[in-house]
Amino acid sequence: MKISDLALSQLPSMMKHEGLSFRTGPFVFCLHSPIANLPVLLHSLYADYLLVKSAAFADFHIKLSRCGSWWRFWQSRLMLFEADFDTPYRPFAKDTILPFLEWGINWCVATQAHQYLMLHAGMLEKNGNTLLLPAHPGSGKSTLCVALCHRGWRLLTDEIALVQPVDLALVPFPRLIALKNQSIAVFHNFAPDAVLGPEYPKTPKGTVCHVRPPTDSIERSNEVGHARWIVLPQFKSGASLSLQSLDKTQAFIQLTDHSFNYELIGLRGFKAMTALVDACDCYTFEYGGDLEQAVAQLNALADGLI
Amino acid sequence: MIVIQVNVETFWQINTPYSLNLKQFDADFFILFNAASSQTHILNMLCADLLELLKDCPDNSIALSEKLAQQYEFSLDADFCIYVDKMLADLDCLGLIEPVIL
Repeated sequence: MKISDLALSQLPSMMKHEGLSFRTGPFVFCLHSPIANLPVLLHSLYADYLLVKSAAFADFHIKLSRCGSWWRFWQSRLMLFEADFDTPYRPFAKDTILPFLEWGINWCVATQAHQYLMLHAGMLEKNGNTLLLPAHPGSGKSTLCVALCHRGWRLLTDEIALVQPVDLALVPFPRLIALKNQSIAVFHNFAPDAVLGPEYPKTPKGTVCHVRPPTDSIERSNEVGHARWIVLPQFKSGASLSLQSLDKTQAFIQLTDHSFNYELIGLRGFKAMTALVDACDCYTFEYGGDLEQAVAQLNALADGLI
Repeated sequence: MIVIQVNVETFWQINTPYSLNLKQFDADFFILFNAASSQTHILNMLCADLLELLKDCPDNSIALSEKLAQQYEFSLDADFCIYVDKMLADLDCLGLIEPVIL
């Protein structure tokens, strides 16, 4: 049963009392919140996530609520994200609730799922082969991910790549894709039929808007991927398309830089990282504003034309 | 006259030999992971060979310089000895080797 199978009217009570338990990738989250506008957002943007019985085990218990009522009036307009009694973020404005929920969920995984080697990277699959897109924020990774998954690639994740050290399986974790600032309009023109959430203009990262991943990507989130290419993307306004081969030592150095827990998990991390680089062809990829061209170039790579 | 100022008194050995994991992707560099510190180091060929020599038994700077010079067919001059001595100091700073009393 998916979240969309529930009537919208059921969500507020569920989120207020037993919690909304849903599966995203390998994790179960149980979300509690009395915030009135959240159910509408989740009913639309989390529509394809599988519901989990509330009494079942949850990896993370998260809560979005107003700050304590004894605070001054203006502070009662602030929200708080809690994860198993931890509060990773300072209180935030009510009109940034969805971005903080998404960042909070990512924070839970990035700080605790050390059974995986975790990379700040997108992962997409085509023809049974998986492309990793490790990148720093602002490099156009999410824009590229969302474009590819709306042109036939299966999205495994756009944010946290989960690598199983024992067999290098790439475990899907398809979350909402957060687009920022100018990329929102660019993507809207690229895929007018995609499901987008509201725009949040006042976040610490500028204007943020979330795109719902394609249904197929969420429905197949128990199918692991197998790494074939590592491509380091870099958006540069006006730049012409450039896909350049990267030597593996450099690729390894770059990948460690994009990992959340490479040093933390020790030798397992080193072995997984070196095996991952061994298994892949590595490239740098610079692209300008033309998303169709960028997608065509990566399609050519996937189709063996490069 | 050239005076080679290298420390011939000190013998060096690998600090935690079972913790070191080497990986080579490309011809010029080695990646060394030290499981004892969880640190990763990028080594050139000469440095990797220096560690390889120390894997067998502790040795001093001048003897190591001789072996490396022979291996690479370099002339054993002052610059090379100082370079090897500096490399040993760097490896010591990184906790990869340690001085040993024989």
